[in-house]
This record gives sequence, C-alpha cells and structure tokens, in this order.
Amino acid sequence: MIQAPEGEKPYLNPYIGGIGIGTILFLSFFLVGKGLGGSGALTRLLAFGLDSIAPAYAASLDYFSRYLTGTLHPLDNWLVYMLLGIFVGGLIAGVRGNRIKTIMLKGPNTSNKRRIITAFVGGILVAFGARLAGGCTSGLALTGASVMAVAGWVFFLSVFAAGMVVAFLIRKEWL
Amino acid sequence: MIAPLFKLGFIGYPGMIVIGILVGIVFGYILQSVGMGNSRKISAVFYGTDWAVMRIMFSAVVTAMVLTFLFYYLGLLDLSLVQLSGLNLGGQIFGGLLLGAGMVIGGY
Repeated sequence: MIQAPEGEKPYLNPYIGGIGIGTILFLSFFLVGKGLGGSGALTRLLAFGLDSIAPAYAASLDYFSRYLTGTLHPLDNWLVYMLLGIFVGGLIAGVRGNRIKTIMLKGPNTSNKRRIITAFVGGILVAFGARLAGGCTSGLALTGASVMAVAGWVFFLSVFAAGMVVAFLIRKEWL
Repeated sequence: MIAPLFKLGFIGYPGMIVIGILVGIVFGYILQSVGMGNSRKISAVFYGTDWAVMRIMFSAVVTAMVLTFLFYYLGLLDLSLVQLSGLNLGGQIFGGLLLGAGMVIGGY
C-alpha cells in the first residue's frame, strides 16, 4: 500500500471516502439533476480562453463554438462551479493534511527528468481520451456507473483494460 | 415526484450555483484526503499493489446507486430528468483506452 509521504497526515480510509463521494453524487442527482465531473469545466475554460485571444478562430471551431453561442457565459455552468469548489476543497484538505509542499512523486527506479516526461505524455493522453469519450473518470465512469448507464461501464472497463496492459509495458517507471 | 429539485423549479439558479460549489468543495476535500492527489497511489492500482482507487470507486458507485434507486422507487426522484452522457460506443471505448493508458503513464 502507498502511504502518505513523510510528514503528511495519513490518508483517509478509502471506504469512508467512497461513501462520502457516493453520497454527494446522489445529492447532486437529487438536488440539481446533474452528476459530478472534472474534464467538462476544463474544456469550457479553454473555450473561454481561446475566445478571449482569438474570437474568430474559436467561433470557427465546432468543438469550441457550441460553448460560446449560448445565452449564458461559457463559464456560467454547473461543472465550472464544481471545479471551483474542487480547488477550494482540495486546498483545505491539503492544508489540514500538511500536504502543501513541492514534491516529486515517482517510482523508486526512475529519474526526475523521466517523471516529468511521463507526466506530460500521460496528461495529453488523458485529456484527449476524456474529450473523445465525452467525460473522465468522474463524469462518465463514476456518475454513469452509479445509474447503470452503459456509457459509464463501457468507459470504465476500457480505462482499466488499457491501464493494466500499459502498466506492464512501463513497469520500470513505477515499480 | 419532487426531485431533481432544481429541474422541477424548487431550487432557483443561484441555489444551483451554491450547491455546485459546495458539492465541489466536498468532492475535492475527499479526493485529496484519500490520497487521490498522489500519482503513485493512483498508478499502483494497475499493479495490484494498492487498491484504494477501486475501493473508493466501488464504494462510491454502490452508495450512490442504492440512494438513487431508493428515491426513484419511492417515487421521489424522476431519473429521466437526470442529465447523463449518452452512449457513444466508439468514442467511449477508444477514449477510455487512451485515458487508461495516460492514467498509468502520467499517474493521474
């Protein structure tokens, strides 16, 4: 088991955390009729940013223009408000758990330089994959699986199938 | 049917914003507390050396599922008004494979 780095508060029990996340997911359904999400807000931020710098170009792209043509501001959205909250909540937990510091989290047999490259390459794949699927582990897998949506389970199984195979290929980076 | 409260007009737009921020705060707080800010802990699930990701994921799914369907069968929650991602088989399989590969390479 991976423990919290030296000097940090130990991690919360995953079952307790999971029950907490499941409860707020239900409350989102019950109160608002929407689920949790992470990647959607980032797409909106990107659409807003591109629209501020190059509005004509942003409007010419179907991928971004759909967020820009509505009556509401592209950042006036459930997922954007949630992302704002996630940042605040994560920061509070980080301060309380003594986790605010600069640290390189990597496998014991890899260099800092390699870790920066894998983080960058992994980030591109995660972002591209999430937009292709129309959601990430929160919006599609967690939210979808909870109501037995086929989309959620198909995505969830695909993520773990690829993860298991690629994990073996790059085992030197983590083990 | 009384819920979703926002969709049925029992909660206004400002209320939705406040709920969104509060849900985010709790979500972010829990994710950080259970160690989902640690790439080693996330990637370890693919090597079977740390099952936290699966334990969180499945306890969250089961909790949300039980509560959601309980309120649905009690006739309180109209599931057809809950906004969900539709099925896009090619996109979700291929996107999922890319995201899974990226998740173990990058660790997040």
